[in-house]
Amino acid sequence: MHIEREDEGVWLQEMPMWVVDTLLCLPEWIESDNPDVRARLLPKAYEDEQEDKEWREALGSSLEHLVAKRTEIVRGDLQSLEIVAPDFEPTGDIEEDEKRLSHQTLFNVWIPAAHVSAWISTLQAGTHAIFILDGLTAEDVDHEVDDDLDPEKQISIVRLSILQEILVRLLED
Amino acid sequence: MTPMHEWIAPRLAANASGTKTVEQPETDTVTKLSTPWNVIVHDDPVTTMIYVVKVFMEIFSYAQGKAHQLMMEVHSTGRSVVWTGDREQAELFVHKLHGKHLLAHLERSEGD
Repeated sequence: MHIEREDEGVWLQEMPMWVVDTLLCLPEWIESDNPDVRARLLPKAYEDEQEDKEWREALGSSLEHLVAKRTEIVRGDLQSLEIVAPDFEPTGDIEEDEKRLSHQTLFNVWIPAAHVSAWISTLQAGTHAIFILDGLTAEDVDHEVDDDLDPEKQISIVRLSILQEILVRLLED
Repeated sequence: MTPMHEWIAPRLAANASGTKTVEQPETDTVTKLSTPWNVIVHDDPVTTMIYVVKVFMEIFSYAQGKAHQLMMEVHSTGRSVVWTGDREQAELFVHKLHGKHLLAHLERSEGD
């Protein structure tokens, strides 16, 4: 996968299927009803309950709308995924061909310059959401891929890492 | 929080031409206005260092060095006071930090 910058926006190019699948899961994770995800994405401003209640009443749902709007922008951009046709020679074995195709098919997505900020925030929200939903701990993330770790957690960490990597690369000037 | 007009109105009245200066009891109001509030940012396990630096530079207009120093304080101690000032501005900053998905809250500055 690599990033190509143009005046009008950014291409995320040659993404394998698992990266695209991770990106496509972002809205679902961020819009999760999980109370811990809601609490993390819409956090308290005051430790005092009464002050925080007054703050939330004054704020209304502006933060929630902001998160939803950005998520919608990312969802919309992902609708325009382009398939990069692989250099593929069929073997005649359907099962083998499907396996090879799924491994070889790559995708591009175009992010207009005006959407980059929404992408960065949504990727950031997504890292928090997957961390909570997949039951990761700070130790899990610090050790990254560890052979002793539960295989499902390993997949979660790889997905979290790719979100972080895309985010950091979008931040680069 | 004291509405701004309660503080400004007596001063406007005092400065208007042809008006008589009247002493106003103002100690309580001035004290409330000057009570500083801290904006606290907390560490979390998934946010990257570069992201925190960029957010501090964008929201507080800090130079990269100061933003980096504050980020390191968050990272090494678990939290940092990133800004201190009046409550209204502090609330606005916390709202912006929440919009960037950083963990932040307000608390009264010590000694008040």
